Amino acid sequence: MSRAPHESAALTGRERVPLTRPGWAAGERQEHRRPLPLVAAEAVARPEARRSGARLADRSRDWHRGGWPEPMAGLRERAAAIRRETLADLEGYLAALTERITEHGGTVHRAATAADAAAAVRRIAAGAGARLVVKSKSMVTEEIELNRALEADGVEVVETDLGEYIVQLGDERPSHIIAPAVHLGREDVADRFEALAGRRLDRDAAALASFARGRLREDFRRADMGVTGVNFAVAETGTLVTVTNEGNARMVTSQPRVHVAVMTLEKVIPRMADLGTLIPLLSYAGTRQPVTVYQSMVTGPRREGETDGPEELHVVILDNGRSRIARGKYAEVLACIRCGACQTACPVFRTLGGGHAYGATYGGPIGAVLSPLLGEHPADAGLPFLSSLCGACGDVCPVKIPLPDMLVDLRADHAERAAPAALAARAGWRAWAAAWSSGRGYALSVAAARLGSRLLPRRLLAALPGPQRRWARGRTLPDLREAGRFRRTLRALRPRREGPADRPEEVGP
Amino acid sequence: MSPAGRDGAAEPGGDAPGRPGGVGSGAGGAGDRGGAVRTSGTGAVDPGGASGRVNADGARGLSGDVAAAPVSGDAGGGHGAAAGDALAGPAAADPGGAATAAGGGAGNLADRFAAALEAVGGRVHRAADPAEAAERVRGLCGERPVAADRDEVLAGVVSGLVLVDDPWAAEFGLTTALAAAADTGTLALAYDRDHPRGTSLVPPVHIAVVPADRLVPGYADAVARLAALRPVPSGMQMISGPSSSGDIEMELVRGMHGPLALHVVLVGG
Repeated sequence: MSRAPHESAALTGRERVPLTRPGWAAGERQEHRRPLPLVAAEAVARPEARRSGARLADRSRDWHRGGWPEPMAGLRERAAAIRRETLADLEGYLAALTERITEHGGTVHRAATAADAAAAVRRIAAGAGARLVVKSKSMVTEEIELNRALEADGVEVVETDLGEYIVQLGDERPSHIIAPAVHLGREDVADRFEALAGRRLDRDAAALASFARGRLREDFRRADMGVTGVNFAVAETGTLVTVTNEGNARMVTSQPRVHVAVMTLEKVIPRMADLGTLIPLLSYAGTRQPVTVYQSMVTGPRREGETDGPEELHVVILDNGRSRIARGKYAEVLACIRCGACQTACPVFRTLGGGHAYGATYGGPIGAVLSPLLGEHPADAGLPFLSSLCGACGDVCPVKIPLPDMLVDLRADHAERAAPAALAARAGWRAWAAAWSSGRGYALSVAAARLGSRLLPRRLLAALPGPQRRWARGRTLPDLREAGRFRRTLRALRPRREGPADRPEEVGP
Repeated sequence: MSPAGRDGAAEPGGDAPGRPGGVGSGAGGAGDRGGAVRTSGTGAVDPGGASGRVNADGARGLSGDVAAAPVSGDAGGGHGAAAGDALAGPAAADPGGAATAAGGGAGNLADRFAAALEAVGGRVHRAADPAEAAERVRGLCGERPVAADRDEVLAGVVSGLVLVDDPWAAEFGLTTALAAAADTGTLALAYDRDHPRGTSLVPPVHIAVVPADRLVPGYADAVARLAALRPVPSGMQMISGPSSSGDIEMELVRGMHGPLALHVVLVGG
């Protein structure tokens, strides 16, 4: 929110847009986070969450009927194999990629940490004298918090993907890997655009998109530098592939003088021909398109005699813990192609109204697995518990990452780390398992619960002492006064089974 | 969904007259058409030969298309209004029309291509020969400014058009494509000094004139065509329809940062 006159046409008037988001949705990830259950409770209670959750649920229902049809099932098998083939020799493919990019006149920067990657881009921007940077959608630049880093140097950064532009105006993070503004309705978008424009606008989606198009178009021409992510980096040729529908990545990679592509190291794939498998699969999994509208393939900067395209190409390859992950038991999580299908399919993600409540860069099932492994923030260790373990994420994953198993394993890891508390918890689970292994034990425990619920005050948790109090905030004891009712009712019904007095069916005309 | 025209669908003999350079290079065409078929399911390309860019010529015409109606140029945007009819008209019917039922493989590929591209908001026109293609393109562009690639395929097409160098000053961008994938309605382009990035991107309407013998069956085949190019071009682009976005309530909006409308003129076949 710079005061100075904007370099960017698209962001002019940005300071007029009111910030309505909760703190945990802020553009900058929070260092001090409230406990996950509290944030989750707040997220679920927002009316927006119900609306966006319903939209995602509709989509998910339409999409996942009947599993994987051919030919997609075949592509899925091939893609899963291609991604694992890559992971088996990551450094080998990265070396080839680096060599090819360099051969074609690009510059490769390897970054061990998020801070290193951000610093590399800052240096490039400074070297290019960049004042205005246009970006196409990229999760890794969220991971390295690139916008803040560049803004600190006085560089104005404009998100050009429509959804990213919308969340940037409200100082939010993207709430879904491929649908950054999925947590917002068109009224929210219209409010932001009207505040920006300082006048009334038509409030339908097409008119709002058109408004954004007009605003951003100017910036594509004026920007000194373009920043993109990378969907796939082809080792064989040194080719960087970006996949979009809007065409913003095409603008960003062709109009500014400098193109910086930021990728995490597992984005590499062996061959160009693999795109014939991966692109249709990514498109199907992400949006159910046969293919997205655009796939742009960049191999080096512009060549002699060419009249457009960047004069400089920089490729920043981020590790940030991934080569460590690649050596461990969760290596397969790096097979991810960022389609967002697991997020759309996840009932917990939907109920939370998107990924903000996870507090991390990546939300949903993939985020609940990846974030703790990246170790961005200690609180992320709790993310694997934001799951119902229903398994939908594994079913819809186009590269067959065993997300449900990983969630369970990460919970186990977490329990081991949390030693003493874990011992107590384990004893409790064992007792429970023993009790419920017999019908009599079950009946006894139900009776005890009923009794306990009648005798103990509901506010008991709030009265817990010491360290438990923090845990207890945001939690209430379940009301078990009626525990066992279902069984009692069932018993009561059983005798009547014999003479069923069926209600007559209504017969339609 | 295959309204678009199909003028002569499959004619076997095929090649558009006048194609000088021919598909020279390797990737030849997956074309089908008369004999040469190579349509198999997968990458037909022969790696070997592929060298530089393939040129063929053909042409095709076009007509109205698309996208969300003209877009009111809000804030500065503006294009919308300009390109008026080419943007708006619904599928232009095509005169030639008629539908021949699918004849040989070529016809099938052309029909499949048209159906796939129209399903995603593009418009397909068919022209029997380059002259007819030129006529279609002129019909679309009228006197309005056009940025055009330098390519043998377009040689006969550009005469009579108002050409400009700067794509930002153009209302139409005129290109060809190295391959067109029938199953997905995808165009495969490669950039070089004669084929700048901006032509198919910056103007509000993109018109691609594509010889029908450059049709290949699937997306993977089109990728294979590009993959065979040596040296690897600095930029390659796959295009399936006008630009779009689903970022507001997941509602599909056609016409975002890339062109608002895409016309493909299939020539010959």
